[in-house]
Formats: sequence, C-alpha cells, structure tokens
Amino acid sequence: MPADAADHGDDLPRLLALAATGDDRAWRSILDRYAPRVFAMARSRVRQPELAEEITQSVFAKVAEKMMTGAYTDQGRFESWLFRVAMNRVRDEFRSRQRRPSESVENHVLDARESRPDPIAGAGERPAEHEALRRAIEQLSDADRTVIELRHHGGLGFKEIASALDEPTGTVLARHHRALKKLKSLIESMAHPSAQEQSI
Amino acid sequence: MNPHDQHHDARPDPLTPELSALAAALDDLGRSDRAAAPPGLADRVYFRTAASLRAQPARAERRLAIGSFVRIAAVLALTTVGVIGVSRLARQHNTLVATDMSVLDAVLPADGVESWNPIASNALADVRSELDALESELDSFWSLDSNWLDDTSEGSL
Repeated sequence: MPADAADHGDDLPRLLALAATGDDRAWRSILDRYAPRVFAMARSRVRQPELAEEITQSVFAKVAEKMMTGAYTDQGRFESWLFRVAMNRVRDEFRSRQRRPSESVENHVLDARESRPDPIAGAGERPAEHEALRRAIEQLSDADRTVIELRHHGGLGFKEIASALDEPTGTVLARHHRALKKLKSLIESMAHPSAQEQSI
Repeated sequence: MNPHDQHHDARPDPLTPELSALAAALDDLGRSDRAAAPPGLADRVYFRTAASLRAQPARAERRLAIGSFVRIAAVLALTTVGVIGVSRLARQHNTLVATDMSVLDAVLPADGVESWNPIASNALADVRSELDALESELDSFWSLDSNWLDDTSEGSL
C-alpha cells in the first residue's frame, strides 16, 4: 500500500471504538488518515476541488452519524464501508447534477479544465503525465474507473475494493487488469492520434 | 504498484512491465492527489462532524440510562412477585398444618395424585383404606364399652 495511504490497521479498531464513544482525538486521527484519500477519489471524479471537499465533508458527516448511532455494523471492514459511502455520494452528486443540465458535473469538469489551471495537475512532479492519465481515466467505463480510483486514489487493497463493491476479489483483479490495458491503449491513442487513425 | 498487494493478491495474469509501469504512474497520480488535499481539510470536516460526534453519545447515554432503569424495575418487580409467592406458599403450608390436615393432603395437588398417576392412585387408595380401617378400629376401641373403667376398681388397676 502506498505509504501515505497505509491504513495502520493495528490501531484502527481502537480508534473506531473510541470515536464511537465521542472521543474527539480518535475521530480526528481517523479524519487525518482518511479525509485526504476520500478527497482524492472524489477529486478524480468531479475535477473540482470545492465540490470534492463538499463531497468529502458530507461523506464523513454520514459516517459519523452512522457510527454514533450504532448503524455501522461492518466491523473490521471500515475502509470498504467508508469508500462505499464515498462512491455512493459521488454517484448521487452526478445524478442530481445531471437532472439540472446547466450544473452537470461534465460541464463543471470542462469549466475547470478550460477556465483555470488545475491546481492538482501541476502539483506532481510529472504534471503532463498526470493530466494524460486523468483524461484517459475519464474515458473508462464507470465500473473500470471505479476500480482504478479506489485502488490508486483511495489507496485500497484489492480485498477492500472487492468488499466495497461486493464482488469477488478475482473479478476485481481481472477488471483492474483490463482497465490498465484500456488506459494504456487510450494514452497511446492520445499521444499518437494519427498513428491510431491510420491503424484503424 | 502497491507492494502489499503484490505479495498477497493473486492476479489472473502477471502484469507486463508496461502495465506495471502504468500502475506505478497511477499510484504516483493518486499520491499526488492525496497530497494536494486542501490545507485544513481535516479541520473543516472535523468541525462539520463534531456536533454529531458529541450529540450522539449523549443520546446513547440517555438510551443506556433508560435501559438500565427498565432493567432495574423489571428485576424489582420479579423479586417482589417471588417474595409474595413464597410467603403465600409458606402461609398456605402453615394453615394446612394448623388445620390438622394430613401431610399427604398438604403436599398433594388440589385434584389429587389420582388425576395424573394411576399407579400412585392405587397405592394411595390402599394407604387410605388402611388408615380408615385403623381409624375405625381406634374408634371402636374407645367406644367398646364406655363403662369398662367403671367396672374396674382402682385397686384392680
């Protein structure tokens, strides 16, 4: 697991138990650990930092509510549950904005790309490569994109992804493999559009 | 590529070097996006969720207090019913003994052993008939001749 996404699973059950009793410090530790991961996943999908933060806040508001009322019963699978809540929230956002065409997420994505520089695009060491990856990810099917984003933005292991999606681990592994192949093909076609056209 | 999963996940086909490089690039992108989370994100999430964090345990404590009260009340009620029942039984037992009922009558159910065990019923009937016979013999003994003492002088005794 990437170092910044390591789940420190040893003390997570203790933190969750403490947080459920209203322990501020434990809840704060959980937020420090998971808020950036949820944000990165939402950010990859909506491309707008403000909207991604709003989604992140609402995800944790729901998680806090469920935890404190005892509605969280997936003991030992907190990550899967958290990211399932996050995925559902992102999808809800897409659906609600698609009902209002002037505010569709796609429009926001285009606006974000065209009207101002992407603050994250230039943040890495390889902004051009990152931007190419983002554009390729956007062209994946929803199922393939979800696996890629849970894996590489959310920092989840394949078992946690399988649990979050309620699918066998083998299916998730196969889908990840297939998504990587598609991404490779998409990136090549973006880099050499004329060559791809000629080959077609 | 996630080193943890390289060891523990069984991939259908091993990744080619090109796909491994692509997965590593995606890891790098994800790491970059996590690092680019807005400053103070966790603080703002905390402030938004802190209210429910504090409110819910209070509610849970209230539920716990109500639950404890109900449990204590139930235990008290059961104890009271038990004490009353035992004292009534004890009083009933004492009354039976005091009214000179036989021990057998006192411990038998109201409708008798006969109703639930025919073998016991027969045995009991035998015992009762013997008791009745003994009782009648005693009665007849005392009523044989009420004057027999009169016929006996003190000296003869």
